[in-house]
Amino acid sequence: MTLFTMLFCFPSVVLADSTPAVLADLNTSDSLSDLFASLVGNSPVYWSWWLGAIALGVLTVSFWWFIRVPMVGSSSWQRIVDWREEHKRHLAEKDLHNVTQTNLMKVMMAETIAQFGEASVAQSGQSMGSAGRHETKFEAVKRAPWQAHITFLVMIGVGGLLASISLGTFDVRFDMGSDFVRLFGDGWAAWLVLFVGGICIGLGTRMAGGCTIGHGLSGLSRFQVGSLIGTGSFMMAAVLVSILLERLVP
Amino acid sequence: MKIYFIRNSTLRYHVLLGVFGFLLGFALYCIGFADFGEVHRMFILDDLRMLLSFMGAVMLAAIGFLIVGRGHKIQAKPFHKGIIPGSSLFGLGWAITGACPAIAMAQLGGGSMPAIITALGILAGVWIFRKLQPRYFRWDTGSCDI
Repeated sequence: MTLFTMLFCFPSVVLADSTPAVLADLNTSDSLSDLFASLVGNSPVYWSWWLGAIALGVLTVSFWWFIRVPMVGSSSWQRIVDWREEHKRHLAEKDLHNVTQTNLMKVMMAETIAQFGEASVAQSGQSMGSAGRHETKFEAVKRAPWQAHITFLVMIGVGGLLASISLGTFDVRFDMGSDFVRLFGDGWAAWLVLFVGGICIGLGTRMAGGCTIGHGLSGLSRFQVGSLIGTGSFMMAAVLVSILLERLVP
Repeated sequence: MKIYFIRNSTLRYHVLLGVFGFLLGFALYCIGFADFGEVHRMFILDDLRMLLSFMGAVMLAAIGFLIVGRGHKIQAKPFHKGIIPGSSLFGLGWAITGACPAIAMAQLGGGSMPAIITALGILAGVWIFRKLQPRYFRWDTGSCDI
């Protein structure tokens, strides 16, 4: 626990108010740096921007390095929702594991004889003999089992739990914070907003084929055109909707 | 590079995805993405700390991919017609719930119980997509297959 605290809490405590304090002491007429400080000034609770950038950047690359697939977010939900197809596919892949070229040839030969009679394969029978030497095993594409995606999502929750405990913000509550209550109240309408918002997230990310992680982090960093347009679209939509909400709510 | 001491590939995926899920949830929470107020202040352009975090992460990852990903064929994400409507819908959902698919779970871990509703909504949304895709959309979403 001590090591854990040193690793994760120490940087945030030390770095929490270094930059704004310096800028405040200077109190110069340099309005550009003042503006910068007011816009990206460090939060009293959360990590400073560059620490977060390093953490997310390293995670994005190392996820690909270890798993050889770019980091995903919404695909995990898709795999879990598709569990029945996943199960069927898993069973089919199990059968595929036993298929070799000779086995396949034997089955096809038996089928041909049944259909067209012995005479039809009499000439071609000779060339079949060589198939056994270069035995090709059919291999299914390596994919994570769908249950591993449950592990992934649950462990994101565990990570959030430990992070909130280490930052001292853990608190079981039934609203989403003061800003959410101000915008949507805390009655049944707020729950409806969350559910409809959830549907928008699920449907939207799957239509676009990626979310903040898939398009934003691992797509944009590889200069993918689709990801650039996708990230631009969802950032713009979110900014517009949020500003509109602020205008509408007195 | 793989974890060779775990022979069973199923278990290996559980361990790898579990470890990365934990680190991702931890980082996302510590940056503040699981806090609706912080996310909302980012979207009304009041506090750009997290936006800068995100952009910095993209830049770092770009440098990382240029170095370690050289010569590797990583799945491309080309443009398709579902990107603009889908992403806009996702932007709307992110703005009103403060959650993206991974962040909903981090919110839940931090103790916000309403995130359960968001997660159920995401499941419902993915299920709706599953119903609509073969009949109406039929485009290749180019989603990463893991």
